Amino acid sequence: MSFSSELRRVAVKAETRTHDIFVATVAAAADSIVNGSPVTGAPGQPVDTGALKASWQTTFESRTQALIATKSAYAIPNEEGIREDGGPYVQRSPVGGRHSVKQTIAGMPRLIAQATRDVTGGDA
Amino acid sequence: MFNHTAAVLALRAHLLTLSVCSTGSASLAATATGYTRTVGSFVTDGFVVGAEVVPAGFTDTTPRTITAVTATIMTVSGAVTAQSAAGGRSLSVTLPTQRAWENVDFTPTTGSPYVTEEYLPGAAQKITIGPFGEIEALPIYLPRIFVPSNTGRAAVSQYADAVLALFAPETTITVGADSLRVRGDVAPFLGQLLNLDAGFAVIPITIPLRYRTPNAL
Repeated sequence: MSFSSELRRVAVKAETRTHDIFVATVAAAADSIVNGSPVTGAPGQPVDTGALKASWQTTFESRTQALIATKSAYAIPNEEGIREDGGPYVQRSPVGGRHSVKQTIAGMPRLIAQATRDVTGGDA
Repeated sequence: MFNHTAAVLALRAHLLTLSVCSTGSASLAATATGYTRTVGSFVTDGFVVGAEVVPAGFTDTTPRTITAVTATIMTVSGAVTAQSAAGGRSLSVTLPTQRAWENVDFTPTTGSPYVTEEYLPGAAQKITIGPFGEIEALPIYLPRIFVPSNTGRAAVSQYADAVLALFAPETTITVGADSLRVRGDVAPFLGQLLNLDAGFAVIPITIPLRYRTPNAL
């Protein structure tokens, strides 16, 4: 095997692993927002009817960009813990909580590290 | 050992040093509706409608909300005790004097800015080796400054930007023998402006932190 073909093989492997790590990180981030994560500390979404939890969608817009979003009207008040009428926010759901998006953003380096370990088996 | 209560108190003490804008020591007069000056500019100093101004050196030092501002005239909410011009006075915008700290009942006053805070302890992870290696938590501090609705974006943005500047990445806040550090890998960031039915607007502020302490067996 020539040096150039060996280099090409390593490059393809690296790009494949990078993409796998990206996909795993996006999946972990979405799971952290929706279901909570011990890695980020996010509590996940509260559940009444389950509509808020089900409203979160993940879209891969390109090989390097993904969108984790919801159109639910309850999402922002719940994320921020702010009631639109200004009253104190009271959580009624026994599961989930507030600020899962923020905690997921803050925990991204750990999610990436975890995804890297999962994909490479610690051989990154 | 982590002491998250001490961490909140340290973060709060740091937040209380917030300085948004000030005239500095100047010759100022008070009228029934606000304050005037003949030298300098309230606009250039950074005063905007919706912010709470704190007078110093006047007989009446009640904090009030700015309702209109020009270079030489600042109009505020409520009636002010008139005083002729004199030096050595100042007007400043700092952290709003109405404060809703965690788990303490609070009712906002319509037309007056107020501040709230939340603290998320965050997930922890042992990051150095050995039985007494360090544990690292990634807490998040969420100070929020609410301003009256219909005052435009200036005041709410100005407060939020001032908080971001106060908690710049790598800022270190001592908590007992340990320290909290404002993160730079995920630096403090702002959310979108939210208008509430209750007559207030707010820009959520998120301050990611790194808190390390030795493991205690």
